[in-house]
Amino acid sequence: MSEPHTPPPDDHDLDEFLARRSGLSRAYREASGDTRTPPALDQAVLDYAERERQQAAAPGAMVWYRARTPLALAASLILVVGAVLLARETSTFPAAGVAPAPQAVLQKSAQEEKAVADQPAAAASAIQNQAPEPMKPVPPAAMVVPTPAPPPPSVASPAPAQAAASGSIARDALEQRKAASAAAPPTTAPLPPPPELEEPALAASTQVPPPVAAKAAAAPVAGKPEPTVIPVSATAAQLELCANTAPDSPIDAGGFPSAESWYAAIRAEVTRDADGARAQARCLRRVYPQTAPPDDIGKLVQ
Amino acid sequence: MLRYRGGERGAFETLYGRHKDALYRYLLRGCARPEIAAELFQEVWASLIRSRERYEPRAKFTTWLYRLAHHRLIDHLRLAPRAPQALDEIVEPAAAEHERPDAQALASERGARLHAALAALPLEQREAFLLHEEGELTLEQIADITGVGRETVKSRLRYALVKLREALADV
Repeated sequence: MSEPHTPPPDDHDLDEFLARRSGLSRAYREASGDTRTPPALDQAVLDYAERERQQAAAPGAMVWYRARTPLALAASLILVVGAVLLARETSTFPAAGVAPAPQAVLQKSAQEEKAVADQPAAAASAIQNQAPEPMKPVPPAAMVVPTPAPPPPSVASPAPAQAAASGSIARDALEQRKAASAAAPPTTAPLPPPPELEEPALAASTQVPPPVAAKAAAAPVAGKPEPTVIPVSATAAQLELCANTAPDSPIDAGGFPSAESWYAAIRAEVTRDADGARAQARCLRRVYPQTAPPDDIGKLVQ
Repeated sequence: MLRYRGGERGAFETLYGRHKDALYRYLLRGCARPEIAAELFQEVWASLIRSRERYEPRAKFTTWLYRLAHHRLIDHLRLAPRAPQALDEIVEPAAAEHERPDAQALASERGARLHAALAALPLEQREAFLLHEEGELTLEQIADITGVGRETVKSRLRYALVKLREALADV
């Protein structure tokens, strides 16, 4: 405070003023006593007070006023959760690591089997062009079979259903191989014979293909890719060995194509070179004397 | 105030009628402009009405009311500061419609000079004088409202009384 040109009054004057007995107080009250609030101002304030009182007295008004913040938060939370769920449902990219439903796997397996049965050419070419892939794991629920099949006694002699399934596919592939090899020269490179092909293939030749569900059930039990038969014929040296060996002397089958592959090669060659096919068939008969050849191969030997 | 907070219809009217004129005069003499005084007056009562739920009778109602008014007035004066007016430039606020012509007729030269001298006082001294005269507050209550010590309030009042007496000395 910056005051002090005049000395402050003594406390007696101040006490008189505070007691509202001083002449200055009386003069102020006389001069200001008539100054009152304008009526319009009074009405405005009283109306506002009455409106506020009525709003506060309205039923539920205070409850709604106090609950508006939690309600707003809850509504926002519901909207966010709903939006997230909707986005996940409509997303075109499934989340990584999410396995398909068992029912979907079963349907997919059945569709694949049906496609193989309906379009053997496509299946055979796919088998020929691609290396065998391991079977995808199927949930236990997908492995539902109409009738329980007995467990396979061993790998060498699979269950009838398994053999029928693998044999059916092998036969289909074999038929496709015949059609495909008509345009392509036969492969002469010797390959190691797949031993598990013979018995299923022979069994399949006399059995009706099992239903799709049975094949779908048998495939995971085998745990192996379906066997394929690649036509392989004997080389010229092997044919010469057969021709120069005495008829009574046995010929070691090592190095020769497997019987099944050899059959396929002979069938493919018979339309192009009947003499060559007969030579191949005779050599096959020498190499595998204990195995009865199919009728078409046997006719060539005779 | 407690009865009004409880929803009693006539409680506010009683409260308002008891304090309205003194509060209006406090604001009018504090800002020296009727339109500003009316605006501040409504703001003070609206603030009081809105905050009625938080009112607790820990202090005198008058102290609470004038604390609100003091803060409003100080905020206004800080936002719209004006240079101190010379005594001969002070214009008495125009009287309201209902005051004419009686109020003007009764206004003596002594009253006009007193009002002019009051308007010329520094804000702190004017505040202390008005809070005591209009609010009938004690030194302690004024000190509480203005946020200063009791002796400071006494000092401000002493200087205010001296200046007002000087302004009225030759009347």
